[in-house]
Amino acid sequence: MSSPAQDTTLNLAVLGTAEAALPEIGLSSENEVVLMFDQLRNPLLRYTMSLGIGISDGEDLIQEVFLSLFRHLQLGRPRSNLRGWVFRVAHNLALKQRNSRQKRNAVALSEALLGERQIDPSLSPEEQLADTQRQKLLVAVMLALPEVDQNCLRLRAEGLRYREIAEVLGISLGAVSNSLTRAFERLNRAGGR
Amino acid sequence: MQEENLFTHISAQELLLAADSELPAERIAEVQSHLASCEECRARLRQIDETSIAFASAYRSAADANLPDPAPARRVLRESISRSQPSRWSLSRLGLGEFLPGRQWAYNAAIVVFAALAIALTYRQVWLSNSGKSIAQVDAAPLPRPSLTPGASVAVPTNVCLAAQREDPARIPASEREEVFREYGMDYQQAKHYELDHLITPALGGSDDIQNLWPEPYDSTEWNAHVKDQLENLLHQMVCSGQIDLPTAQHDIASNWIEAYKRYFHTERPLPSAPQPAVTMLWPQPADVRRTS
Repeated sequence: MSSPAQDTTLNLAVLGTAEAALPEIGLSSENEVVLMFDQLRNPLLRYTMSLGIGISDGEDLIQEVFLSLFRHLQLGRPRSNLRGWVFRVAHNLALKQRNSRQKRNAVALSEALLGERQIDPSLSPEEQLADTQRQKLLVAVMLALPEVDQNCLRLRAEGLRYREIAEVLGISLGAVSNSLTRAFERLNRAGGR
Repeated sequence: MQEENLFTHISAQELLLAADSELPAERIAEVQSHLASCEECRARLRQIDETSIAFASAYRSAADANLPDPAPARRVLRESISRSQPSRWSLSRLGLGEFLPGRQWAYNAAIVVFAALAIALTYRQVWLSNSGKSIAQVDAAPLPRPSLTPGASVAVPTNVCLAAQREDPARIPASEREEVFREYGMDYQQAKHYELDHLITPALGGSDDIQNLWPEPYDSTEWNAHVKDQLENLLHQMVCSGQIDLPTAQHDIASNWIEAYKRYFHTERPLPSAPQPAVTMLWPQPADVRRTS
């Protein structure tokens, strides 16, 4: 056994598996789909929102994704990397929907993203203000990045591995690491730490 | 190689890929040894890490304020799923089993026939070996037989994260070791080709009970003992960092460790002795740092 010494603050992969979809072995397709829904619904909704899809459209879209997943499982199709599969279907549906609506919602969403947010109550008022400002800044920096870089960042923030991100966006592993390197540099320069 | 590494810094791209185990194992080892001796690269990795965490939390908290309760959506999903398979429900209520469309049915029937053949063959081989005709014919199987080795864990588990229990076959009495091989219809002379494996590794609370022990091939199959070690290490890390709970880890490794490996590593094939997907391994342990500085 390897040493159990864990220093999670230095562990990039903590994000990588935090919300990993881990369906139990031997569940019925229906329960497996619902289990994955519970694990991935919030990440997917955040992701579709960030692609400019409103909340209620996003909810409908996610229903469609999981019904497709159910059919996919029932037909005995490949089960490897179902999380990547789910995100890819959501990504494609979202782009299709967005293109038909000409990014109408994107602006509203950026505003929503920069607006209300959860505040850590353990911080002093000054710290809360600084924290809120820093978070707004990070989101604003992201919104100024090329779209591919933004999508890589969002998917990484949802805990996907590089390989999965590449699959969702249909780009190479190298392109993912270039995008993320660029994005992290920008965020860092803007006061990411 | 060491000398060279000292003077060629690791690019941010490579640091990221190494942290996700997306580089060849040899390269990951080089990156690790470079990091052990280069404060500058360690600082860069730390910075990327902190930025990544700060961004993830900003991104999530921004959106989370707006997320509606998932319960209604979950209900809708369950309803749509039941609506999409009405025949299945009515048939199963009648006790006729699952309704399966034509091709699917044929496919499943083929699997059943194949499985029956496989079982028949296995029994034949066990019989052959038990009758002393051919011990060598018992193929190395990558999975234990559930009837002999369902897996067993200690009743009152110690904190597996504080005091990691090692797999130590020497701790198992020779008589018990021989018994395991006998159970499996195998010659104890062959023992060196096998790891006397704890199905549930002690680091995950597995016990030394015979129900938790089986002869696992070292290298005669693709899914061998070394590959299983990778999964054991990963699950231990995930349990100790709170990503999964101990019963889940025990259940998954005991029910079918190969399926569990595929799911946890997101791969269909064993990874080439990949070290760890976690960057913790990229970080030199404190002892290494002291040695080099």
